[in-house]
Amino acid sequence: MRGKWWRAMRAIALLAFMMLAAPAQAGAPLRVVSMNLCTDQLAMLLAGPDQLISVSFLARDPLVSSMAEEAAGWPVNYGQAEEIYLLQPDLVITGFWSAPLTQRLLNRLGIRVERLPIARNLEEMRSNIRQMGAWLGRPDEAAALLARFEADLELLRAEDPEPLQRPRAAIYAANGYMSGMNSLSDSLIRLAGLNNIAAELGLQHSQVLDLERLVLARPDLVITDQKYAGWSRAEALMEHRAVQLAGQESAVRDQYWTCGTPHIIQAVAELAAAKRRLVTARQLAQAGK
Amino acid sequence: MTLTLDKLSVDRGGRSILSEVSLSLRRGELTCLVGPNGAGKTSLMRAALGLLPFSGTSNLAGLAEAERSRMAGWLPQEREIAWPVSVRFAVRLGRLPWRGISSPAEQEQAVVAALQALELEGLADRQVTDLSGGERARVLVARLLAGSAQCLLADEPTAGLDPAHQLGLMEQFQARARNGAAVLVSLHELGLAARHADRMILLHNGRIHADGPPASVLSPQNLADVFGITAWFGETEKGPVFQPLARLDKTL
Amino acid sequence: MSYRLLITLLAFLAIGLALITLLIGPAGISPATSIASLLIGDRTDIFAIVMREIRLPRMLGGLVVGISLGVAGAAMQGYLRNPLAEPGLLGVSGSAALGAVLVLQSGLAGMFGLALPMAAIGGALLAAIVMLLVSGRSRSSLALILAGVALSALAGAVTSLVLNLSPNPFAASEIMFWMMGSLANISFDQLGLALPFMVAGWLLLFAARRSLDALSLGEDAAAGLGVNLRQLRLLVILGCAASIGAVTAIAGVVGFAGLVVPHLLRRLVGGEPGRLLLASALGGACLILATDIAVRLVAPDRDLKLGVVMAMIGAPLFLHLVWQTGRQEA
Repeated sequence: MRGKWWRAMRAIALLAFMMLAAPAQAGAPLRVVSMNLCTDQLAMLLAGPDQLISVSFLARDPLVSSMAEEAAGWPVNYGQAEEIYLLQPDLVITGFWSAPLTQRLLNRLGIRVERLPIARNLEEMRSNIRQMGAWLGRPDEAAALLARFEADLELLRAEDPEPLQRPRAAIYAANGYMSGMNSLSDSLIRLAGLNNIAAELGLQHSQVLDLERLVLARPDLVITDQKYAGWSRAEALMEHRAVQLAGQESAVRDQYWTCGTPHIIQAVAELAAAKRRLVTARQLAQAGK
Repeated sequence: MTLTLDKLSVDRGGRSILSEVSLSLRRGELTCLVGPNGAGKTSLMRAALGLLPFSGTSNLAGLAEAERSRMAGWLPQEREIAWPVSVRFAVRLGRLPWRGISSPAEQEQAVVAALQALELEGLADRQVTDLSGGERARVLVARLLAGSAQCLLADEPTAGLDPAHQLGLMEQFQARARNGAAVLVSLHELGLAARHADRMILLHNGRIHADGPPASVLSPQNLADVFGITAWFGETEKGPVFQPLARLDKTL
Repeated sequence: MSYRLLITLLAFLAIGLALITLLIGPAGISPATSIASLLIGDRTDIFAIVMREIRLPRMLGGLVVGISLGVAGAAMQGYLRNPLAEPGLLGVSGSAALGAVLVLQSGLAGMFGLALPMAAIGGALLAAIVMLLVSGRSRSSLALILAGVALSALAGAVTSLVLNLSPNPFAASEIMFWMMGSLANISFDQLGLALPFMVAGWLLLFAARRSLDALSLGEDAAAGLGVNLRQLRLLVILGCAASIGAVTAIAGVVGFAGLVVPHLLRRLVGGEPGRLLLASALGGACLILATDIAVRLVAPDRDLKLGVVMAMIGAPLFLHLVWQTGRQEA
């Protein structure tokens, strides 16, 4: 009896070892499809030649994608299970919450689907880049990308004239939506050496802020959004005179703010420039006194 | 100024409603316009005032609106008053053509005089919508009289009223005529017309069939031709009396 | 009640409500500070910004929207001689909204600011003409209201379609603003565009007041009294289109106000349509200001639409009127 039990255990252990070892021995995916704007961009940055075979249609929208031009080099998909299945990918990468039905369907069809969480701060962005590198079998490229980014960021931070001063910024998007403390926008603001008034107001999550409260908060910098085509009252609010009078400086959230990719450096640079202007203005005002 | 029509014609939808009607009202006379339904009585009066398109001439229609409304008063058949206004307000509307021309005192005087003439002082502050049919008719006549026009045109002002009201209104028109106005009243009640009219105009199929004193206009021949009836017409001490008797054509 | 007394009371009420509306807001500024900041505050003072750029336009918006709805409602009722007439019910406001939406979504309004009020006025004008044609054919209230319902439904449907086809992702959900109306976050830029047209509309309608009085006796009698019916029609159509169009372009459709105000005030002005115009203008201002105050007290941080409260007041009244009118016409 004891002999049989030992043999069984050895078999199980061997099986377990093989299963665990198997992925490490499998090759990098050859046909990768990305279904989500943020995964598109990371994939385009990290994938090997001909490894990435399709990106989502949003990657070509210059309003939201910081790689709209580059994305022209790949065919687009619309996140439909059928079209993706026909591409015969061996790996589909998408966002955590994107198209859940499509994800499930692809799973049932036996296709490997990996989900990348939304990066809400620098740490999560780093982790995402490394994760993407791992999935694509390109860990070295991921590390290099990160290293370049960190260098750029350091350079930018070194240019900060007053690291200890932290002017206050408010994001006021369509309908008066303010990004909460737990968001990528918030991280970008803090990276640029500013404070987000959402923290003062205790706003964990994004929510509507009444126009009067925005004015009363006295932000130094008001950040609005780029507008879509057509017209909406929601977006017209961003052009209300009170919004323009609320802060000394203004900035606009553009495509560099959307995803946690190294392109956020552009957004941080713009914010840093706004900070320099604010600091200078304050110095002049104080000198004038 | 009184009404003078020369070859007035009115067409509607290809049909001829009035054909070359010529007449001239005389001041101091109460003229009654009679005729069967569809004879064109209302159209004649409206065209005369320029409220309808017509060919031919009407001296009143040729005037500017403002002047015409001072020269001639018009009381249409429609008796509905849209809003719960006071009797005084309704009568005062008759002074609209005189705004800016008469002084406020004169305006008020004319309104009061009209209210008195129609015995409406007691009802002056009541709402017209609370009044009976007869009272409302009186209010509208008061509105007409308040305008102090020298030429009055009234379209069936006595329709559907009690005999007392009918007689009262006709007496008012007579009084105005005696005062020098030229009054034209269209009526269906031939008896009423016969008793009060100085002159009668019988309209038939858009033409003037007869024009003259009631006795001659209401001749048996005219009655037969135009109304298809026989009637009794006589002068009594109480004035002329007219009563339709029988139909000539029994196909009805 | 004497007319003079009524007008004075309404004027005071309107001023009072206007003051109250200036003092309400999430900023929680004390009344004394509010008024002081408004009048003498420095341009960069945050209280002054709140008062002058946010609360003052909202108050003025409430005033002009109320005046326009009141006077247009009274004028329409006076002209059509029908107590059920009002710009919202008869589809005039809805058509104005459609005009505004078309011009906004097509980008025309962005290129040429005045295109917005002009398009809204154009829409209102079309609807007013349709209503006149219907009213000309049939005197019955039923025909008028049904035509208005049809026109409103059509305008609303096409508006919704245009918004849903818009490339802008926010547009589709803004149908509520257009259909129910709101004064939230209204700015001076918007008011400035619309104000001249509104005032022109008011003046045109006031010019018609004596003719409307005469019209109580019917078109024929009025014509006999020297009223130029063609001119009157023009004054009423243009006046209503201008005031309703301009107001709808910036605040959306606020239904029932033009029905409620003249109805409530009619007896107090002795039924006289001419006097009802001014009374309804002031009464409308009071009603809209009061409604805006209510809307902000009930749901302070949300944009509760004006039409919500107006419909709750106006619809039961409308049903009551229909009931009454039905009995009269029977």
